[in-house]
Amino acid sequence: MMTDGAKAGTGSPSSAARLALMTTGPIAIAIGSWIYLGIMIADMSAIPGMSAMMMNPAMLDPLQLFGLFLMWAIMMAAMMLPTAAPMIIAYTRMQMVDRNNGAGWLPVFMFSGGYVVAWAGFSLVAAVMQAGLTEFSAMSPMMMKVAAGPIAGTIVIITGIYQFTPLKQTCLRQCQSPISFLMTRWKNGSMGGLKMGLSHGLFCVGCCWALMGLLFVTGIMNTGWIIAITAYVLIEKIVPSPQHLSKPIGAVLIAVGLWMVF
Amino acid sequence: MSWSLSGTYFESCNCNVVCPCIFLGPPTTGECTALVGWHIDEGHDEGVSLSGLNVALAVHTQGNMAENQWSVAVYVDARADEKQNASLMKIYGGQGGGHPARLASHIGEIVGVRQVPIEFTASNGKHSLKIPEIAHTEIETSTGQEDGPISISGHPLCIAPGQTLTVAKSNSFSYADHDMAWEFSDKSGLFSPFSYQSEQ
Repeated sequence: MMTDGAKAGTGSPSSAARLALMTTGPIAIAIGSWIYLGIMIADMSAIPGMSAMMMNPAMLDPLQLFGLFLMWAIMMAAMMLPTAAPMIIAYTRMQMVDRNNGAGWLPVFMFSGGYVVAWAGFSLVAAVMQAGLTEFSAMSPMMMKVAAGPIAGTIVIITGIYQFTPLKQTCLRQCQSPISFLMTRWKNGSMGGLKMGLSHGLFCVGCCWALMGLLFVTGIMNTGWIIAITAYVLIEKIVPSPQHLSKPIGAVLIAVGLWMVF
Repeated sequence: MSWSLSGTYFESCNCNVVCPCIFLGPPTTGECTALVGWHIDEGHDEGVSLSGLNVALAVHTQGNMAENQWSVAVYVDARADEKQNASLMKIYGGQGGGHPARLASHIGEIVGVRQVPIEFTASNGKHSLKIPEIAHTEIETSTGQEDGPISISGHPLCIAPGQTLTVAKSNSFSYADHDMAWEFSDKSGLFSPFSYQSEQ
């Protein structure tokens, strides 16, 4: 009986293949999101309500607002799921014992889903902000970009300052240490997976929301910056002493922001 | 499927005081050799009482314990009858869920399982574990400020989540079984209460 549990090991190549198989759910969500994000970047009319919005921007229209929310939620899933790979892999490994006991593949999917839901919460706020800024003509509906100058500069300064805050550093430490999170906050089953994914996602939002604000400045559908921010977030999560990276980057952002304002 | 265990556990390993593995660091010498013992004060699995029984593991890991799989030898109290033995094997093997399943997820290989006499004692700041002809270790509480104990809490790699560890040092450590033989003293020791439950 115990020796069955012993085969929970993840050291051999065959178990690496098994790990890839078990993370099919989050991999599929991430790839699907990138594909849809690519389609949206290529042709913004793929976003529900967007054609109407370009003709006649009416931001309080529910369909247009929903379109913006969907755009943000898919973009966040595409950008953030890959950066959660170390956590999702650690969860999948640790859940292997439960799977050997018949828990199935659903918890890994639910864990990733909870993470995506947390970012969808952020997406709702971002969509409402975008609608508000567009409504007050502070943002171009076509370019999805705030006007250069004080507003853009202020956003960049806020992002820079946030890099220095204790809240940012606390959330970053959580994202840095999957084992710590999983060993001390484990909840069983699919619903447990969902709750843990949600709570990890909330730490992740706490860590990265301000960085996403940069997209308002660069243009929300800016492919280069989408990839650059994704890469930066991943690096911040995996380097050993992220504060040595996040604080200089914060200083650079504050300097750039000040230059933009004045 | 409802079970719960609570009592005292301690670990004695080859790291210098204090073991860096619990903070996700690499073991002092690059490899970990440890004895971990649990004395169950109160425990049950459905109708089966597990109170008073002992369980021990001998653990060996190459490299960082959080990143590498562990080889373990399992020892279950000789006083456990067939049902109690089956319960303990289920819980410590991870099949019963809860924190033991999280610990079991670190195990890559079980080199053997034996039912043996296990003497677990805790008194005067000393904890000892003795399995005749196989293992013997005694750890003694280290003293800190104002002659009080030194404690650690919130460490990520935890045998007993939510509990505060007390720092100790081994007076002796010897183990020989399953082609493994370890002997040392004055190394890291840690102990705390523990409490495990099945999923709610």
